[in-house]
Amino acid sequence: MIDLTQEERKVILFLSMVALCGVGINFLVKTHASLKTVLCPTQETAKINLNTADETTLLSVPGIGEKLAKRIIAYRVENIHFLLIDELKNIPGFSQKKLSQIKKYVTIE
Amino acid sequence: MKQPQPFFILTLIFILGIFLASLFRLAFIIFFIFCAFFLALGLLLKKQTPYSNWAFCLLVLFLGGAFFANAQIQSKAHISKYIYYQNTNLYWLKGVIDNPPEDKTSSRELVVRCEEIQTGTRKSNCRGKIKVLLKPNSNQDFAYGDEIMASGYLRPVYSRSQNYKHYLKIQDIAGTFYLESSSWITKLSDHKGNPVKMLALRWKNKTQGAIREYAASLSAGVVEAMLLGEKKNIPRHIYEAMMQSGTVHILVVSGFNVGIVAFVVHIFLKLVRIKRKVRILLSMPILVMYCLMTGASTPVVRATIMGLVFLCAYLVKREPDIYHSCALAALFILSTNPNQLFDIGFQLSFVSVLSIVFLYPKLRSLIRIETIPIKPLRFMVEGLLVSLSAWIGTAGIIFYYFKTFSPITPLANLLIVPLATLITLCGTALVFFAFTFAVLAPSFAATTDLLVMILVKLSLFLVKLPGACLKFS
Repeated sequence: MIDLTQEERKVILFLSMVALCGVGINFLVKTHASLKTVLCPTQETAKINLNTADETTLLSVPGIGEKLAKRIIAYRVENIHFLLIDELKNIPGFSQKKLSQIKKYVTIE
Repeated sequence: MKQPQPFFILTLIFILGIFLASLFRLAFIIFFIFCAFFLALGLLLKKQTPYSNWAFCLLVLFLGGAFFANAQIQSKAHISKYIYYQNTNLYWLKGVIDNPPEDKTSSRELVVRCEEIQTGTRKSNCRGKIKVLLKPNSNQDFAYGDEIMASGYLRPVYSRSQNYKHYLKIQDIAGTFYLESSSWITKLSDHKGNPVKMLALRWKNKTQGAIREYAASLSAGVVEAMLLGEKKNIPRHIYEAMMQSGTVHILVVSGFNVGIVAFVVHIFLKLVRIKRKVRILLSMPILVMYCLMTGASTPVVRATIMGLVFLCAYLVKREPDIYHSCALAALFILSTNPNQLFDIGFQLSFVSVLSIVFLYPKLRSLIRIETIPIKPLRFMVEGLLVSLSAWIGTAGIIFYYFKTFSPITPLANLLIVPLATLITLCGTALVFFAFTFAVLAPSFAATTDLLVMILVKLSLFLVKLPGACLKFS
């Protein structure tokens, strides 16, 4: 069917061995990799950090428009950082109702 | 004609292994055991006998099967485990954008490589790709490599086209993510993608900008498709006319374009008196970057690898072998994703090249082309034979998938391919001068506009000829 020289046989054997090991390792990784699940008391992954978010990120929070986003950043610059989410009430335009609306989207870190 | 080399035959056997594994769907462990057995047999049989050659062939056959079987297995953390019909759970998804955003008529699509998924209070690591749908004119600016967080619902892919579903499966896109609210997607960070690919995409954006600045909108669309693989700006009726005449391949970046780019780069480096070895070494990364710029589709990857093999052959002063380079390209693509064997692009790309390489010399000797005294006529007949060889090889595949048969294709290609070559060369020159001597760019843009106008008119004329394209239900 095909004629292989001694060198060609060695190369094919070496490459086949490497390929077989590689595909075997890949199979083991896929089938035995653990599904890491953690329980979060709240949806921490999803929240925006008020101390690091830029204007574009703040705008993506429902309820925060351009003016409010700028005021949040100005407040943060003036006071270095937020210690509590409730500090947002000190910013003009933030009522109690608005604060309770956006609380589920933001966090402090 | 040169006889196919053993490496080419072994690649065919590897492909046969993938095909048989797709038919019989045996467990991975069975293929692995057979591979290990024939590998041990190959190591033990030191003398060259028919049995040892068969052992090698079977080793490669089962290796192809093992690769395919492994590709069908998904990890425990794969996103597909969360996707099923009528899944009303709300998910938070964190991932990295894997492709530049695509603008469609009804939505803007992002392909996201998943990292974490959260539902309720349970957060898990996650793998696989998902398609995220945004509103069509969303003002949020996302790019390749951006890490995003989104809230929404997971659904299976909905499409009436089985070919499209099959295509998404080959690309490992598990489903669709519909946002909870149109604004609830946010960018967490950027530059998380491959830095080389990010650089290539930056160059691509600059090249697109240069083309649009100087060329008219229609010719800019055609040049962007030919040079960069961006087909979205080509009018639908022109694209369909070229499909029916069998010349749509010129609007797809393929080996043809890669060859022209390699040629232009080589000529330019020769003009600036770069030494031969340095020229070859510089051409290689430029080819790879061009491949990434155009989206690394299967035909471009095939052509790039074949181009690299040829350049390496020139570097070490050995004669390149087209069958070997084709086999190496096929092995590279299939070892990374064996499902590509069932992709239309993969099949057409390789079959067209191999049919030209195999059939063209036979047709040439059949009609005794050397006896044609007039050189331009001989050149035209050679072009027609190349087109005919590719057409014969791909006609069956095109009929199987698209249920069309285009008798006009060889003639259309004879007229359109030289025109496409000129457009690609003019477009490349336009881009070059746009970045270096901008004062010359409008001249090349005007020539490109003229050539594109001729191409469009010719395509529309050819498809109107009686019997140009036959459609079967």
